[in-house]
Amino acid sequence: MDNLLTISNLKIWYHKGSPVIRDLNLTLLKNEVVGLIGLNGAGKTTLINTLSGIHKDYSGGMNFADRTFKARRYTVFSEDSSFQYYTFNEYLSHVFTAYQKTSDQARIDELVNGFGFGDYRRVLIRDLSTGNKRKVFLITGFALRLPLLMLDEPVNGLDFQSTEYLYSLINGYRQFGTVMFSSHVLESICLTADRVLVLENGQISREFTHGQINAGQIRGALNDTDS
Amino acid sequence: MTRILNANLKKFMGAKYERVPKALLIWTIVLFSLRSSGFRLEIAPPVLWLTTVFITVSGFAQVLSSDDTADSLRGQLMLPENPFAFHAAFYVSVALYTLLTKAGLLLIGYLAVSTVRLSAVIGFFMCFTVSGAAIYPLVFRSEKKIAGYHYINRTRHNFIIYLLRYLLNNKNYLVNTVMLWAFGCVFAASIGKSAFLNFLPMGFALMCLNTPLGILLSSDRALYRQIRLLPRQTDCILLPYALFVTVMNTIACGFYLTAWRLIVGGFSPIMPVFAVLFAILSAVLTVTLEIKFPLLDWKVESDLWHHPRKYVVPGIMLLLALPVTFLTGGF
Repeated sequence: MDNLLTISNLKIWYHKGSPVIRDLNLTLLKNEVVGLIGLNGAGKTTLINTLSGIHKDYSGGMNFADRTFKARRYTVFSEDSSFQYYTFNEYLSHVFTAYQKTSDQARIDELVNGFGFGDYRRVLIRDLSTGNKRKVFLITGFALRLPLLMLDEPVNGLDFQSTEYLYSLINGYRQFGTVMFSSHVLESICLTADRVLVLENGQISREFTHGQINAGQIRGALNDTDS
Repeated sequence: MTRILNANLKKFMGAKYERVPKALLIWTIVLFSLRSSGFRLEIAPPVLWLTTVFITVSGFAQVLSSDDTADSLRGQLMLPENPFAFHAAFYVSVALYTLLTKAGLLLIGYLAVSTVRLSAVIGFFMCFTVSGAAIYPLVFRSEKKIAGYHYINRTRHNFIIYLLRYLLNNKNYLVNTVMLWAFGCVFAASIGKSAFLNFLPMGFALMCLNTPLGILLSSDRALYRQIRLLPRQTDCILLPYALFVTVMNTIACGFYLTAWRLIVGGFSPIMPVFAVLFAILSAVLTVTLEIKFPLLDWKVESDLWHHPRKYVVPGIMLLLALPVTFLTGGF
């Protein structure tokens, strides 16, 4: 498989002199699913925020706010209360206009039904529950079908059926692009990822691929990290 | 009680109470600047007290009605605290925050420019304490406002409509905007009738001081993050935002000019053109400030309303108003 993104010697900090991520090397292949794990505070969200062009204090890698790169990726954040005075339909229209893409109505209907979101399409995002807010951004991300989709803790707040549906979507995304997601839920990693990256001490300390990806191995790696 | 007070004061004042020395420094600068300028204004005690009540009530309401405060209270109210001790401590923390960031400056202004009467100062503290205690139980809430589902049939996005909904759903934003328009009318009447020179263009600069419209992105950090995430947001958000602010500023200038025409008399036909130019320029400056220099490290939303950055755009517009006043025969 070809490379989608190659990052070398990425350093990210909040306070200069004490980087959260240091000398990180990361390659994402086209059409793969990459799981990102690590203990709380390991820097998973910081890494995703940086790749999304949100966090500005970094060196190395590339210009993540570059227009061409921006047009090829979308991120679903772990918490998002933006566009509170739009409905889902309006937000979708806003995002598709931003990416200059035409929406596939049949595909959107399929996603809306899959997530059990049909009754909420015309409701202001502000009025939605935590789980339904999360679905607004997940549906948008999967509807866009961009080369890179980043998800930060995507299963948080989702009901059981929606979580199962999300796993099927992540698995099906390989035909359109690459998914990189962070998670603390081992099941989500084991059921979907082609590769698992363990983030520890600001670097990727271990990597698991296909046959190595099982709950026991990953739990062991996280326990090693903890000790 | 001290434990609850400390926990909340750290939220309002910063983890190391860093806001206290900053505020005291501002008080000192304001006091000495006003004193050394020689500016004097006799302020009658009732005027000081009434203003104190107004500032205290609006300050308490702003802090206690924000969703951000409700969020921070949830975890505290879950604990088995003594209700009286909790509310007493929380009232004191909000009172100290309001005194330090808002009401205190009023007292400093009074001490600097007016003849000081001990009774007026004692009255200030009494008005502050009593009005704070009176408004506290009325506006305290521990849950976010849940208004039920609002269904909307539109399918196309329009950021101007988004901003209109934003304004209509935040009553204090709306009140602030209406008050600015009312101020425009009063300012036109007082300046137009009392000034011996034509200060009309100065009012255009003041009509650009719409605080809530100038902090829309700063106050919504999630929206600001999406603007950075999504491509082509200049077209989708920033231009409609600038257009919206232009229209609101033009309306404010419209009220000002209408009041001037009705109360003071006629003005040059070029003035409405200047009003629109001021509205456009101030809108562009406002949006540029918001996207390039957003205020994202606020602790409570009320901080944003009183950040000195809000005076940058009217300040620039005031400087521009000087040559306009000169050119149109004001000096």
